[in-house]
Amino acid sequence: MAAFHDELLAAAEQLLRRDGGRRGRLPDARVRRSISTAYYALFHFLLDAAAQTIVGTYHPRQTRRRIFMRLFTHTGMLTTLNKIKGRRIDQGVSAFLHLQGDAVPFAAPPFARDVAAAFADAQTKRQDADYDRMSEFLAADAEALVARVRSAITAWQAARSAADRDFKQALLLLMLQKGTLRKDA
Amino acid sequence: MKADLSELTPIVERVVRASPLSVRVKAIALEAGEDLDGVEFIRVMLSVTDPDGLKWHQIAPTVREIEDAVGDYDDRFPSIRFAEAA
Repeated sequence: MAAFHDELLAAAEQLLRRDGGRRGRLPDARVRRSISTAYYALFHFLLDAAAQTIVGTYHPRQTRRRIFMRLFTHTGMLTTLNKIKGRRIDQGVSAFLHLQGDAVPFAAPPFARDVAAAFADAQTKRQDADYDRMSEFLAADAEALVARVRSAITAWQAARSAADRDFKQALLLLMLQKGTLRKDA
Repeated sequence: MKADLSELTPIVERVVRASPLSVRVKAIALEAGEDLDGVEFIRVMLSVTDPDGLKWHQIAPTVREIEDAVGDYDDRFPSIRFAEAA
């Protein structure tokens, strides 16, 4: 059975498909729904990753994982990912994201930066696609976003070293905290 | 950290001019945006010829470079979109 995020990505791509090689502008609603669906593919991918990492993959815990996922918020995830998407990790969270004794790098690992930037891109476009009819989108915007989300998910899945897994766990925990740590921690 | 859009526009132009997209980009426009949760961002509109021919793997390095370059001066995310050049 395909993962939920895969089903969503397939739906986002299906919305952009032109029957029989037809040309011309796609209906606006299909472009906007594709953008929105691509965002939700990445959103649910990260929720699944967090639930599997923090709650565990043991099958009977599926209900617990699904309840746990409801603790995350769109804004909290964005706030977290904004702190690692740039050339330097936000100083307020860098100590939390690295193991004690490790040299603290300036930037997050490339796979994490890719996911963070894709999430910010998808969330801004999804908000405009869903709510702002003044913002115009081309099919090219939606196609690029779907490909970006797919690429970011693939890079995340391929990052499996011990250091990568550790960074993911810390990042997902920070996401649960909505990107904010106690100042006296 | 927030810069004036008039300061960010030449930064985006410099990145685009140095990229493989330069021959297709005919105009660049930046506009401040805010989502329903009050999160501010910047719409970066690139008017290009033949936008249907754009593929993510071709434009990804330029998009990432614009995001990083703007991020050096402004915390708002630059959301890059395309328009058909007149």
